[in-house]
Amino acid sequence: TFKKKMIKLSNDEKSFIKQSIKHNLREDGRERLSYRSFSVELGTFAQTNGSARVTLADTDVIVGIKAEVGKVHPNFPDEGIIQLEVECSTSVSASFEGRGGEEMASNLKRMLSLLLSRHGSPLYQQLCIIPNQLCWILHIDCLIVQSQGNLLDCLSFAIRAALQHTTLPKVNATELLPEEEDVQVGEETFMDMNTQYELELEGDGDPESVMHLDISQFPIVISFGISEGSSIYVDATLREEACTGARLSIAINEAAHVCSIEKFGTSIRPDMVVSCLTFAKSIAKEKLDRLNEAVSREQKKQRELHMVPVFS
Amino acid sequence: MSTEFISPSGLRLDGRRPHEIRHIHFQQNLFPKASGSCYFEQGNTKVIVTVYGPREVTRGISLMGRAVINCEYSMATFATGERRPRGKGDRRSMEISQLLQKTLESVVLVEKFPRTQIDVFAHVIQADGGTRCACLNAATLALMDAGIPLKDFVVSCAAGYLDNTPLCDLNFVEDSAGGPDLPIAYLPTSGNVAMIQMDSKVSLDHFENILETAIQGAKQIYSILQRGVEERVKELAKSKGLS
Repeated sequence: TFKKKMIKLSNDEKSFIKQSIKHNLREDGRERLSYRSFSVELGTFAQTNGSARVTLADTDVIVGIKAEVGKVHPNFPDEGIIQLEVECSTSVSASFEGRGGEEMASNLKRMLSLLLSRHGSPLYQQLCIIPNQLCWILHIDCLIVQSQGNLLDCLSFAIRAALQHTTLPKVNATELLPEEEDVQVGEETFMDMNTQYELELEGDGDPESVMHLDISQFPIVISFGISEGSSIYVDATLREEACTGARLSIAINEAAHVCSIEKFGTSIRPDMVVSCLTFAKSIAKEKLDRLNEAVSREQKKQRELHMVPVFS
Repeated sequence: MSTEFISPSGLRLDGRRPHEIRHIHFQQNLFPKASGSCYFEQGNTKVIVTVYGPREVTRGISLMGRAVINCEYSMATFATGERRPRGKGDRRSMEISQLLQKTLESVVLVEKFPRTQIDVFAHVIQADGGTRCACLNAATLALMDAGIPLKDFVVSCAAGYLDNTPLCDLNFVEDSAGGPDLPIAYLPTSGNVAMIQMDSKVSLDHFENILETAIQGAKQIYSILQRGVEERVKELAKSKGLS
């Protein structure tokens, strides 16, 4: 709905696009189940704990992850907290000036949070420092630089890549007794209403002594459009999104477990859902392999190069 | 223990000499959908400026004889060391948005586009001092990319004064050191100053020195931008078979 505001199509154009999907020869020449090519850049922002930029043809998103230490969530006392925020830059459209982009951004944030948050997974548990007390809070900030369709998938690739790139210092937290002496140099004190903690960096801030995040079960999103009730396709462009009534997004991980499913738009036949799930398994495996490959290539490059301009 | 901003051998914290500007890299025309755009790096400060227009007025009233310039400055949440949850609408962003608008008004030939609006949106994706300067430099390039006629380049550079030395193009650490911070916007062809601001205090004896340092920095930036723009125009002309 919010995306339809951005593109105005005539009835003839809509009918052409729907027919092209049906005949497996889309506007840009792709087949129904084929993605546009994507590229990954890592570590573009030095101020973050981890960052990534993913471009899916002309859809361009940047994800930056910052971590801080805080109190656990009362409902999940032995897990960390992951907070997702999405922002639409004015480079996507002039109408995103001021608060204009907030509606689209909050919709994307809600959808991504539903699809990607998984309490109980190793990632959340890894973020716990002291059960019932302290944990890492990861702020995942997404910035949409350009949109040519399929933002959900692109954002999920970027979030996963940024998480793979994220490193957190290993900390030891010890509870401070009230009579504890002054804090020594090199340690931080974290103050809570009732308890005081002393945070100590393991290895005295040695850059090699870091914790990598366990994203083995972290999913990516594969979004399907279902045109005219029976034509299933992936990676919609903006124009295709404007003509498609029903969309199904599936979050699926490396173990081919379906983590969550979200359906948007008009109603669909149940066997369509089953077909999408089947396609999602093979598509996700291929995308995850390519994503992992791109990430390890970037990590190798990072170790060799120092600073690379973001857009070059 | 106070920080030494200039080492005994005359080098700053990032290895530069006092009169040296940071490394500059830019690229225009990133977004085909916008009228003009520019990605600009000044050291570790990275900004994206997008220009839309001249187009129909959407904000406020249209003016009879001229275009309205509408600017917005915002920062990404991950741009600074401390995470900022709200990157636009805060006082500093509003202040810099107005600053951009007032400065660009002095160079854009607004009389050529009556009753229209020219949007200039600056988004800082990484901040390491001198964000308003980087945004002004990028805005000039983005306006050029959009084909909007300008009286002159606007080049912007900030200067300061630490450890008894005028410093050119401050980074974040130098900026936060408590000394004066003097960003200027300079018009190279006329040699005039289009914008000048200063915070903190400095004695009059040093002021002229600092101003001159900033102007020299702006001139250095101008030569880099001028060269880059010329190269791009030559490439464009060649690709259209014009040269």
